[in-house]
Amino acid sequence: MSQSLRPYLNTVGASLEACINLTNFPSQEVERHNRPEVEVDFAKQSVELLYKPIHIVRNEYEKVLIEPSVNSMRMSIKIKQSDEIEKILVHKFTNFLEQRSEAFQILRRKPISEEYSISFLITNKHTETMKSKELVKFIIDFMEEVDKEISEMKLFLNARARFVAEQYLTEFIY
Amino acid sequence: MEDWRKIDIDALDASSRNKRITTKEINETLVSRGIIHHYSNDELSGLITEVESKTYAKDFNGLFVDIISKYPVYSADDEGLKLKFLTGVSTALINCKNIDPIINALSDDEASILIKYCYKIMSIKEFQNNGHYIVNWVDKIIAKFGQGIILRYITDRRTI
Repeated sequence: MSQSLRPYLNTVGASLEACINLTNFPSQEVERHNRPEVEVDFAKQSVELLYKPIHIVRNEYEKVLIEPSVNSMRMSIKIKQSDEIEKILVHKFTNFLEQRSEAFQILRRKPISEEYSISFLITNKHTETMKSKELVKFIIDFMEEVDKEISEMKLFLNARARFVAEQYLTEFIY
Repeated sequence: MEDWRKIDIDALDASSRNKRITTKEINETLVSRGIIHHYSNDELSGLITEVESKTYAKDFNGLFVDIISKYPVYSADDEGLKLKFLTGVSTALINCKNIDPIINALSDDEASILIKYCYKIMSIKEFQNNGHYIVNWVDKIIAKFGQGIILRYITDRRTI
């Protein structure tokens, strides 16, 4: 692991652990509703229930945004995309995961904006049924593994493209 | 109750109860109550000069312990000047190589202010290229002061 990745992951882990302190909190606006406060319409949000968002940035290609609130926490990750191939691979990979978000439980169907590749939404229901530390560990592992996965996919793609090109061009050798 | 017709019922409507308050409004309230100091252009320019001269002289201990963490710029007249101040702080954070003695010299409150600067700088796009230097600071501050410092950051309404 590179020198600058460890402090980045440590900071993300510590920030997540601090923000994952969630409690059941019914809506103050609508009776008998219980919604994740970070997901409520911007105009209808109760300010006192939202905490200050945390930006953790390694460089402009790798960053994390944590938006904590009283009963939920939303975390968005920008996965490293240094060239066009990586952009396509990250888009396809995150799309694949998002389509299966029920299986992941804490995964959001869409990232919060174009700026980020993937978002997670953790509510008090999740922290009541799952161990908070394990949830944080899962996200940190995901961040570590996803870069490796994308690099491997890129290498595999290049090798396959080379093989296809060779096969195609041998047709023209007399 | 003779003037019951004058009661503004719309003001009692549930949807108007929780109007979204902006950071600017919170800052104005805190300034009017004397909780935070509002910096005039002259004061802030003086602070910027001091930050730049200490950075140039590489007196980082004096800069972070005596200036940056003692005089937080929560509210200022000119946002452009505030950005210039943040640029100065960011340059100092990037150029300072020996972080540990500075962090050891900070008190809990001073560290809470320094971490606010770190998070603020990371949230501004212009400074994101050098994010790993700032992350290093945040990592060391958390290692020394614990996760409580993050909780104080997310709940404190005095924002930079």
